[in-house]
Amino acid sequence: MTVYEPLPKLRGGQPLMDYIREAQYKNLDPSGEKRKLIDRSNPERLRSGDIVSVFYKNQKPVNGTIIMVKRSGVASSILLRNKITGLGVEVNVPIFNPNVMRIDILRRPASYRPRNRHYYIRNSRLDVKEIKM
Amino acid sequence: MYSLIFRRLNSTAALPAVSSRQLISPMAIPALKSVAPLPFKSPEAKRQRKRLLDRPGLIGVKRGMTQFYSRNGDRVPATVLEIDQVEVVYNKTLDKNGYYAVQVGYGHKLKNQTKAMLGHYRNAKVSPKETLAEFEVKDENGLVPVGSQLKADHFKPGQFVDVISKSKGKGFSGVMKRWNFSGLPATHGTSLAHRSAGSTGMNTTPARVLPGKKMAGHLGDEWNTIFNLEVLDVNAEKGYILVKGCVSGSNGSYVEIRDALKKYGSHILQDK
Repeated sequence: MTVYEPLPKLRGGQPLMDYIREAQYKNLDPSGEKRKLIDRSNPERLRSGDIVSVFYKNQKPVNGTIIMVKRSGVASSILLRNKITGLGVEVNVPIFNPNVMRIDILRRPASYRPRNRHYYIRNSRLDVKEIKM
Repeated sequence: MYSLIFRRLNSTAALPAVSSRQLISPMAIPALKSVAPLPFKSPEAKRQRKRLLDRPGLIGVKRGMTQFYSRNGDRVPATVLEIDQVEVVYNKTLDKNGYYAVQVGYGHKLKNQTKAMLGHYRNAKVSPKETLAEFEVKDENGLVPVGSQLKADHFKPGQFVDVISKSKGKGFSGVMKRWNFSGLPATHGTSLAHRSAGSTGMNTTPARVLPGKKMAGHLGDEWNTIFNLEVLDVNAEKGYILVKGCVSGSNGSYVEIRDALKKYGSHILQDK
């Protein structure tokens, strides 16, 4: 029985999700700075407890204490908490968003808490303090 | 009134098949041949009532989910569908099959192919395929030459598609999971029946369970269509399309992608 040859495989057989991940990083983070921010092997990485300032392309900078770092590829995000006139305010910052220009660490704590997700500090005596610039 | 009688007389006289010897009442109405209407349930009548598309769709493979940033920085969830080695294997026509359709194949697989299927692929001059799917089109203009390759740029970013795939199988499931029943109370004497369905009907009348009663049974692993998903990104060179939102089935399952039927489909009868 005659059997015809298959068409050549695209991408040389590279798994598609691998290619998509690389292409998205290349597009959203060409210099690799943002990837470094959440890389676990980087001692200068963002950690829960750090006080940071996020600079946007089209709006004012946002300050706050990190209470969560979510690592999931290009969907990675950090959760900032701050007190404004005594009221707790939280902002979720997707760090690979093209509108996020850079993230500066203002201050690091003397010692880090033993968890990554600090949801338990909300409205307790451990809660974040108002950031005075 | 006069004109009506006159026309009847005239028409009788003009009948070509009637010989001159025959005696026909001048008031007789001549036989008129009319086309018999299609039976309502006939396949052709059903086809004409259907909403159909102008062109076939594609077969893809669900590879996973990611997120996509739109121009203004909005994050949207996206499903990655791989389009690779998609070829047209067969065209169905009205004369031969009773409807117009394009049979499309995905991938390459040589193992466990029957001789009959190998002959089918040989006739189309394409390699043996992993899976086949059929897309019904409105008329012969929608047919695609057999053996031609379909790429991801069949669709354009911004348009809407329907994605048809098999949902994940959940096995034999109870009514709480399958039909969102509330179950029975947690306390007040409920014994070993917290997730039960409760009553399934009345007593002596009708003395049976009515057909269609929602009960426990097999859940999932059935064909599901998700309508009107937006196409976010298309790359024919690398062979993928991104659609907004989720698609039924696990990663690695085959999906059929077609133009959104409710937006771009039309009826044959309305066109006439």
